[in-house]
Amino acid sequence: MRVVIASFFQRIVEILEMSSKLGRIMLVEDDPSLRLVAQIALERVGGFCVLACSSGQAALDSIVEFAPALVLLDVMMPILDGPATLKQLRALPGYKTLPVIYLTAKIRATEISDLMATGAIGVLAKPFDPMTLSRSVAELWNSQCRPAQLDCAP
Amino acid sequence: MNTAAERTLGSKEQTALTELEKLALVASRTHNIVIVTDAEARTEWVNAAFTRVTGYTLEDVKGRRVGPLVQGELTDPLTVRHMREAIRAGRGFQVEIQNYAKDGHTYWLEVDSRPFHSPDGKVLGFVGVETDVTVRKAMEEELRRRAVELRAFVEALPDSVFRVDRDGQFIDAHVPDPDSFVAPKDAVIGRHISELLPVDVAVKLVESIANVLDCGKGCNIEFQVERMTGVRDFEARIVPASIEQVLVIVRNVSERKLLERLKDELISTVSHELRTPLTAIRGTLGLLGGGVLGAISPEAQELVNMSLSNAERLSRLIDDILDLERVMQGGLELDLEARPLLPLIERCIHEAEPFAAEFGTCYVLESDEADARARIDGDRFMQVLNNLLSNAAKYGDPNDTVKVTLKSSAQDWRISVQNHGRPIPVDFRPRLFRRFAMVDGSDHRSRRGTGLGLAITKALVERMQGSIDYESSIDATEFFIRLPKC
Repeated sequence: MRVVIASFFQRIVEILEMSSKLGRIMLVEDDPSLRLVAQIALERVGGFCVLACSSGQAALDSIVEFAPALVLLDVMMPILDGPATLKQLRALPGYKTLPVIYLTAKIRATEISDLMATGAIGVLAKPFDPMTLSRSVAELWNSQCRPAQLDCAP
Repeated sequence: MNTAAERTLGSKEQTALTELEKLALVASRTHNIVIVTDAEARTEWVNAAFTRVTGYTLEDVKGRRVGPLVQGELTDPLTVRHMREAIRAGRGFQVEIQNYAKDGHTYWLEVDSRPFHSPDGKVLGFVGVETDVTVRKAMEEELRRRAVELRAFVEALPDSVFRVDRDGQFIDAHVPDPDSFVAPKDAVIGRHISELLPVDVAVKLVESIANVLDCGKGCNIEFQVERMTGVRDFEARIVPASIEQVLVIVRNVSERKLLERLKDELISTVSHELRTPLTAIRGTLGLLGGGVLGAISPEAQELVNMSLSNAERLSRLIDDILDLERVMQGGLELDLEARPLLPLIERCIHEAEPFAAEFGTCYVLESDEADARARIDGDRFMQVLNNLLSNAAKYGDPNDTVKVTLKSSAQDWRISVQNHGRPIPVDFRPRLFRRFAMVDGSDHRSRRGTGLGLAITKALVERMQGSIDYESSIDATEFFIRLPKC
């Protein structure tokens, strides 16, 4: 009996750990240099699988196929800016709760709260440190998304 | 019978004579000039006042017309003609006229001349009563001159000026700018604010006018009006003019507003355009220096590290310039609220500790004022304190502590940051709070700063209604800020 319960808990922990693994990240950034730096940082330092998109539209076009666990979204972009991209993303079926983090130079308190109000799980400041970017992303994801998944996992 | 009739007549004459004597007495004693002439205006009699004012005696003028004697260059010819016509027609007249005395000085008279008639209606002559109104005339002239001067003042103003009553009706107007917020002057006077301006602006103005009249203190308001040429921005200063009237001075600030908007856009664009490439550079250097893309030679490592610290410095500089610009121009919105000070100070010290450790120093907080509260913006207060803390670490003696205190004085909270070490150079002190002020560049410690920290700090403290100052002695320097209690 004790063994059964122990293995049951073990299984739950495994499921939680699996579900808490952040694997695929979609990066949306219109500046090519920044896109490359962020991509390399996420891939090489964080070990994530990254799809880098150069515009909001490009991201919306490939999000279903790529099926990321998280979107890292630039705010100031031409045509579709970050919040507009997020709004269209949320309108897609099945994307009501996909975690999104903004990456932005707009770091004033009021701007951050405005951005959070659009339904993001966090805002990371530019300029970012490529050596710590992955950790910051993972930390935000863990703090915001793991409790939510705990609730619905069993 | 005859005698009786004569006696009766004599008595009547006597009565008439007595009456005449009385009148003559009045005429001779009055301060007014009295002239009696025949029908052709030739003088028969003048009183003493005439002589006193004009300098001419009865002998001088008897049997002559007075006019030609006393009229001169400054006498208005139209008035003279009007008098002559009246005399010719046997009519009375009332005029004001400037005359000359015998000695040549001029004076003003108010003349009231009436004809007197024989029983059959023939004009026998005129009695003129004249009053010296020189003083009144001089005052009127002075008033007129002042009015002209005042008008010139107002006309010279580039702003529109209106006199408006409590109800919002225009009493007077000066509208020099054809592109102003209302129609030209003539179309304004007598009309109501609400007839000429959009409802929201009219309501705002009338409310402000009532306010100004009630409390007797001027106020400024800003508003926008849509004109044919586009939306215009205006700034109105309302000041009490009399018990129930105000002066409204309206300035077209469209250009200034446009410049402000352009500058805000510029700052926002510049901050984005500068930060983006810099972020890429820093990121690239970070990846290279972090060995993510493979090991690099020690020399290359050193160069990369150096470039990285320069990029970081440039990044701080951009942040500081934009920050300072916003604070100085008032564009930075502060979230002012009564907040407890001690927890913020503790947090600030906690966050600055790693920085202090680099300089071999640490912070010691001394305070019992757990309840200290002031109206501040939390983030900006921490920015201020962080600047003072990092300065103290950078410029203080290594291996010594930086003392931070929070104390209460009569009206203020006094927060001080004190380090031991060399004093602030005397010749540098006047520039301390200015932009790009930094002590001797050969000192390697100063290179980590941008020279804008204290300028920003001072501007921020002042925006929070506080003040900042310092004391620097031979072996210690103390910066302190004062924030009003709330």
